[in-house]
Amino acid sequence: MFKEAVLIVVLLFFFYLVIKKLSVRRPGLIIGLTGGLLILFCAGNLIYNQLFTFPDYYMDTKTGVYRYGTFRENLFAYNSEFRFQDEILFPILKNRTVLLDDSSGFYHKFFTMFSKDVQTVTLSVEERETLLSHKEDFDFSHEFTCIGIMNYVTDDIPEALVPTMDEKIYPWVYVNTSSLQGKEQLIALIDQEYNLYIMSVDYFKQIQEEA
Amino acid sequence: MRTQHHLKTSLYSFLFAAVCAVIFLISLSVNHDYFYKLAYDNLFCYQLKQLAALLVMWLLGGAFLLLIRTTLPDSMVILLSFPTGLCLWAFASFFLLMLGIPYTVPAVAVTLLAVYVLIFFLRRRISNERLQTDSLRNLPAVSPRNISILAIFLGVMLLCSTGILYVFLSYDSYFYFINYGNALTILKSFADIVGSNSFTLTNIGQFLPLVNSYASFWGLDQSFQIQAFLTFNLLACFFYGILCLFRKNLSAKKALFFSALLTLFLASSTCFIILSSWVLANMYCMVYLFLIVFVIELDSRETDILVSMFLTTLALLRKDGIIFAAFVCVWIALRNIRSKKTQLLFFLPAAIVELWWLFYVRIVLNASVGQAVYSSVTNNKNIFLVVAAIVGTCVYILLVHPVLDRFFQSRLSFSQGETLLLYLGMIIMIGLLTLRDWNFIVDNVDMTIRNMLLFPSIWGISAVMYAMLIVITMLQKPFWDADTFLWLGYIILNFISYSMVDSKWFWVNWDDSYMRVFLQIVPAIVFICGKKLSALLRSYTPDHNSES
Repeated sequence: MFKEAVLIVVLLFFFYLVIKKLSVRRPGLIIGLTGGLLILFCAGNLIYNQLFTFPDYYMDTKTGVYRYGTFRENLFAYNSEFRFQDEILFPILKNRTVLLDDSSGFYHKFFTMFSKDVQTVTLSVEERETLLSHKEDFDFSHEFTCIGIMNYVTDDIPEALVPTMDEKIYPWVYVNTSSLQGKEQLIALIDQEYNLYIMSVDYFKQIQEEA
Repeated sequence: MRTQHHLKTSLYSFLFAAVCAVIFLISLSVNHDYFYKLAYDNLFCYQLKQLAALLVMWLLGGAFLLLIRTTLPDSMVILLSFPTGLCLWAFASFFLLMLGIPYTVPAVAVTLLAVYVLIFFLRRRISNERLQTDSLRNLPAVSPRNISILAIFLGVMLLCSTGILYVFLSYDSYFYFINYGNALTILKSFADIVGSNSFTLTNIGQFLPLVNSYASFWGLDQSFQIQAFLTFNLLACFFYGILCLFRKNLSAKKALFFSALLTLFLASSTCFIILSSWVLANMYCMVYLFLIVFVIELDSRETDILVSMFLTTLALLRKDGIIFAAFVCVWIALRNIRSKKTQLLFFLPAAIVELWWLFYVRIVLNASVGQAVYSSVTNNKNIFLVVAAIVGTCVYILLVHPVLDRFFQSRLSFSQGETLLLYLGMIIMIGLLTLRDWNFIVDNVDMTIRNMLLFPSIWGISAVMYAMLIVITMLQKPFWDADTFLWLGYIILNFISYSMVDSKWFWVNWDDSYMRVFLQIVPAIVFICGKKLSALLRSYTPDHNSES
């Protein structure tokens, strides 16, 4: 890239020489030249942005209030997880009371921050197993780097989650969205891999009764 | 004729505001699906809250500016209200959190009220005037021009509250600014944030999270509308500033033409679009760096307090913000505006806030990090560098600059001598770094060039355009003056800072850290080019006396 840079510097030097000469011979032209160049720059920018920047600067306009600009082929910037958190997890928690299983204390502070209220409940082993056997009922699932989100709400990171940082093996969040419609209380628990399950209390009771 | 023109302008402004209001109403139905699913109770309320958040912030700043103003024009009050409001909110919040007072809206409101009352009585005492006369004199005039500007501002606020404007988010946007800001409103203290991996306290500037806290207090999920409005505010200040500069040198029509073109050029640059829509502290740094240049250039009596506030904001915005603030103070000294004591007073609040923060995080909270240990502000190396930057700047302002200035100006009549000496110092530092690790520096230079020229890059095709614009301004002598030093020195200094202090390898991508810091100075570059261009065009305009 050094060659290209040197070439551009040389061309800029020639450009300087040209306008320098012009400023001596035809000083009146400088105003027109500057104005013309600025118009050209603006037009160039607008065309370039339309042709290249904005197609790369992908806009999600289908579902979001805000358009989440992301760059194609940019691993750092594009991550559907960002959308998921903002569009699914936070709205779910907002204005809802969370009944959190006491074995899921890791998420307690997080839920306290983002939900209306948190109450701790104790689920039996059978209740947990019944729930986990209904995994297919959870219509929304997504990888969940809870470490990132928990960064400022946990004092210690559990051993089981260290690989999520080192090897990018993320826990998953499972949400039964249909059961949450119009419900103000939800129940949340985690399994041994720190996968998080979220559903309404009514749904939870229903599958327990069926079992 | 003039009244008719004003009325016409006001009418267009109101029309613009009305169209924005219609878009705002339409957006309610467009956004409905998004909110309907599981989110919010009342969409109309949510969008109104976004609007109210902008309006209240603008009023906060406006009230403050009206209290302190003596010569600040009405238009400047309107233009600077919003960024000043953001500063006041962040300062009050920071002050409360540092003192361990629970971070709540009433606490911030009382703090701000106390500041306003204090300023009011101080001013009253200083001016020794009666209350009513003083406060009335400070109110902006109800002129068609002011009403037009207000209508445009209101229209843009409505637009920003619709959610139609785009934003660009990355991991940091969410976790270190939006969610962390939200966390502060719930936990209400820094002490409850601190843990075994306190990344947000040791590696993140606190200003932007506090702005997000403001949005959170309103019940909003993000502060995107604040970012969008601030971008507009920056462009409005840019246009106004450039117009004032051009009007000194060219006819009204030409001034308007070039100001509009330069503003459009800035607004359409790929690098500006990306940085201004990316929810990161870089965008805010870009705004406040520019505003410092703006208020200094359009000098008024209130400049001192505003510059001081904006420098403090820089120190709070990023962990390397104090370096930017220190650099700007060196530039102010080079410009020889104000006495050296006043220059020092500009810098003092920023330095105090920075040292207070370091003391608080390192000693009071004893915050540690499991990751990003080397970039933590609580490292001995980083603390040493910050203290060195603060002491170095004070020594430069008080001792070095007066001596160099006397030597070059009075004895040699060579006004650019001091800036050239500073460039030389920087080049020597880069030379030493290169000697220490040739590959490291060459690679970093290579990455910088690639990031500027490679397709597709964060610069788009703007890099070459900026270079051409700068080349044109080289016709205006002197070129190597303090104004050029502001951006060129900034670029070189940050290259040194990133290479030496952070020992950071640059990388080729949109998100290269150095490139984002580089881009923060872009509006200031165009502004300074505009300033030089106005003087240049004046000299190339036939019979330029008649032009002005």
